[in-house]
Amino acid sequence: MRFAADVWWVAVYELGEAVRTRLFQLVLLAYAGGIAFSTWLFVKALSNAEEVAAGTLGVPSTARPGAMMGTFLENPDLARVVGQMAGGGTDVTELLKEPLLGLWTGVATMALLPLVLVFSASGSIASEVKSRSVRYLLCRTGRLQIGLGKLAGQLLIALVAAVIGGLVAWGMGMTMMVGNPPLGLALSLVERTARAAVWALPFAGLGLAASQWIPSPNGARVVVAGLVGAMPIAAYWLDLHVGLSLPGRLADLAGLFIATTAWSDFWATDLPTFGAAAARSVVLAVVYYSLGHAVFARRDL
Amino acid sequence: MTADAIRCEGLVKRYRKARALDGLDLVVPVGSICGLVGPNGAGKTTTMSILAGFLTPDEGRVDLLGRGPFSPESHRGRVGILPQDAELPTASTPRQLLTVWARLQGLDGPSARRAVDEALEAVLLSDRGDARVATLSHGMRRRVTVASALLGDPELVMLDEPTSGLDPSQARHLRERIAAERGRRTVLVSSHNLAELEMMCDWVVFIDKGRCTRAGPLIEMTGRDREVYVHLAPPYPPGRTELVTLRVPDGVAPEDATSELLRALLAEGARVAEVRRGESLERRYFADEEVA
Repeated sequence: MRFAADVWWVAVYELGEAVRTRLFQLVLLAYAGGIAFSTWLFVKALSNAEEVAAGTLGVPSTARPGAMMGTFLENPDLARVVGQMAGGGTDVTELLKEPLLGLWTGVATMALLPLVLVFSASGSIASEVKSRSVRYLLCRTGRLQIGLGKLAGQLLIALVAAVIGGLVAWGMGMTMMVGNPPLGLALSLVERTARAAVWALPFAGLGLAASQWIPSPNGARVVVAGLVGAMPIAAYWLDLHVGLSLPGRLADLAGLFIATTAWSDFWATDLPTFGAAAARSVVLAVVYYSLGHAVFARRDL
Repeated sequence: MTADAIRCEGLVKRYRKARALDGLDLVVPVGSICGLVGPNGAGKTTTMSILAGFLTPDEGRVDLLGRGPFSPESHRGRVGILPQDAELPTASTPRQLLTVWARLQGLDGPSARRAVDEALEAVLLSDRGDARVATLSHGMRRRVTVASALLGDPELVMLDEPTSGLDPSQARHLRERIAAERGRRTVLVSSHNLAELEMMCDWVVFIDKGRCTRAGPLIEMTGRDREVYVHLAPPYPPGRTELVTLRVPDGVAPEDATSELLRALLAEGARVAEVRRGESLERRYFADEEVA
């Protein structure tokens, strides 16, 4: 109980310090701007498509796009595109029951949120060790509680960012488009951004691991950015070697430890597949984090 | 309750080839205000950091409050620590930081709020508790860190250079605050300022080159219990010089011995310029250094 309370209070401390820091506020602003830009792109693409369709049919186009959404959803090309966005292997028919903007924002959030967490997590422990402010925590709780608290704090940060992004997308969707059901879009955004927050957690674990190894916050950020960039390449290489032989099975197993390979499972429409992906994400975050904790637990601070 | 708040034996700490601590023994009695004295590089901050659990000693034993070396589990809320050069997080306010730290010390919500108010009041910062740390002066930030060490009424408080960066008035307030803790809790204070330590402490430990060179009650270290110095103004009585020294015999109260000496001197027609019991800590420290 005491252990959990300590983890919670360190998480609150982590969130509080992050959201009150100017640099991180700028990062959050950039993230919200990224979501706004992606929503604008969506609206613009839809508007263009509707203008083309209206021209073909010889009917006037509407001032705000969205009126022809129902027609577009019947187009198999759109279903194929959505299937590709979701990484393939997902029941697209089921996915398309959600507002298209919700799905689009889910993709944008899953792409951008890891970057926010890589930034905040990589600097977290490194900057506190550098300024020695970690000592104010060390004389009150254990190093494991500090580490796990910071990981939990990153989840809270992800949720805050996801809520901000969701609100931006909802607001733009309701004002720039027609035909979006307010509650339906809100529910879709809640689900997609919440999934994205869990999906992003391993990236926070990786950031915290680097933050424990590398004393410079910016150094840690560069290293983690490189590692995250290498993930899809490593996943692709492993995928080429998956097979029934021992190396093939090892490649399959190694793939489980690469966070980006879980993309499609986070779009699963059945709860067991998504639940397993979420659990894997949490475990992976702890595994990544623990790569750094071995250093943090023993070093002089 | 153990008789010693802090007991260290044979502490060794190496940084590469340099030995910051070289077999340090340290005993601080419960309820005392102990000054840790030594030149730069003597090992004061390393000692404090080991006691606080920030550093791990290469050799030796540490015992705080009879509960072994510092650990948050066994010393939660019992030990307050002021690290020397740890910066405060600047984005939050002192109240926000202290509240989270109080909760980590195991205090519930109302107790944490009360403890934070008391700690801020103790360092005269009640009116700046809700200002962002970034907007506080260096001295104010230092006082926040002192408040963090006093948070929750700990049994043992360890302060590394607590008055560093404070203006004279703030430093005086803090010295008085620390001196007032005598008998209520144990305080270990490290400082370069010997006059300051003399005002606060009743127990002193000299360390040099990572070893304890001398330790004991301040009154014994300065000789206040057994030495009386009388400075005379000229012209001196026959057979007297400017300084008359008296070593108080065992079993005689220093006050009685001083009175008797003064009576004798006045009877000889001496003009007394100054009467002093013992040497200052600073003179004793430098006398020891010269001997070394």
